Amino acid sequence: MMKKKVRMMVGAPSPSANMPKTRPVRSQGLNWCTADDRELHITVRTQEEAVVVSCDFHLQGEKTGMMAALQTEMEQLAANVESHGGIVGHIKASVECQDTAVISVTLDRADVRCGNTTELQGSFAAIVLFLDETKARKLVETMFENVKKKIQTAV
Amino acid sequence: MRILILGGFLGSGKTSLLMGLAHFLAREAKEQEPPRVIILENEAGAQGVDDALLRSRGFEVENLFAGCACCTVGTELIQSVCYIEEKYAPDWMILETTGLAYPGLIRDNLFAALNKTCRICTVVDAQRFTRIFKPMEALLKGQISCADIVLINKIDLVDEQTIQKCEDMVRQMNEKAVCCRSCAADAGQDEIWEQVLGGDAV
Repeated sequence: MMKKKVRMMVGAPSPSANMPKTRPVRSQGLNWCTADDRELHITVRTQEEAVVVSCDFHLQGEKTGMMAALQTEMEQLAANVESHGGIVGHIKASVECQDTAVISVTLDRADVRCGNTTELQGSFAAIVLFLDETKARKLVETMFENVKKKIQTAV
Repeated sequence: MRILILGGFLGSGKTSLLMGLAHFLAREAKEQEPPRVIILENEAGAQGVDDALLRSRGFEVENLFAGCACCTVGTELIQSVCYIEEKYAPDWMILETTGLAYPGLIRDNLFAALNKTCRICTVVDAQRFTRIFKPMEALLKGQISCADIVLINKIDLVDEQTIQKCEDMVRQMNEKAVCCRSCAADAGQDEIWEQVLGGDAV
C-alpha cells in the first residue's frame, strides 16, 4: 500500500513513556483466551472526571462470531455504564485479524490449506464519566468475560 | 509551520474528520516532496486505538509521548513541536487532542514557550451535546470558547431542530468562531477543510 504523504505521530498514555506498544502479557488478571492462557492486563486511571480503562486483548475463533461478540458486549457495556449512573465518554476497540494458510507445491499445482480459526489482536479503551475506578474496571472485566463465554459457546 | 489544534469532547468525531482533512491535505502534496503535514495524536487510553485505523488507511504512525497534552505532558508537547519543526519543516502540524483536553491551554503553552500562534478547531457532537452539556459544562465551554472554528458534527444523525439548538448554544459560548456543519459522509467536502484551515491550506 502506498503511504500517504502525511506523517502521523501518535502519543498514547502508558505506564512508562519508554514502554513499547503493548501486547497481551502474562500478569494477574482474567484467564480467558480459548487458545491459550494469555491473560488480560487492564490499566485504569482517572483524568479530570473521567475514568479511563484500557487493555490489549487476544482472541481466537471464528472471525464473524468474535466480531459480533465484541460489538454486542461493547453495546452492553455502554448500557451498563448508564444503568450504574455513569455517562459513556467513548468506548472503542481496534482489532487486527490474522488468518493462516499454507500454500504448498510439489509438482505443478499449488495446494492451499487454511486454518480453522482467526487470531484477533485488539486494543480497547473505555472512557467513562461519573463512575469510580473499581466499578468501571469491573464492568470492563465482565464485558470480556462475556465475550469469552460467547466464543467458547460457539466453538 | 502552521499549527491546527483539533479538539472536542470524547467521541465527537475528531478522528473521523481528521482522516478527511488528512486526505485533503495529502492530495495537495506531490510525491517528490516531503510531507506537508505532520499529525500528532494524543489518546486518553493506555493503548492507542485510533492510530491503528489511521495506520490502516496508509498513514505513517509513530508513538511520541504519553498523557494529556494540555497538562501532564505539556513539556513533552513543546519538545515534540520543536523536534517536528526542525526535522520535517512541514507546512502544517495538526494536533488531535484527547476528548478531555482544553485546547486553549495547549495554545497558551505553545505561545508562551515557542511564541507560536495556533488555530483551534473544536468538534461538537450534535447527537449528544445537549445531554452531556449540563454535567460537562465547564469542559465543553472551555473547548468551545477558545475555538476559531466549531464543527457541529454528526448532523446526519439528528434533526434540524437539534442542530439549530446546538448552534445557538455554541454561539452563546463563542460569538466570534466560524460555525460549520459536518458529518462523516461529507468528510470529503473541500469547503469544510478550507474553512478549518482558515483558507490557508496551501
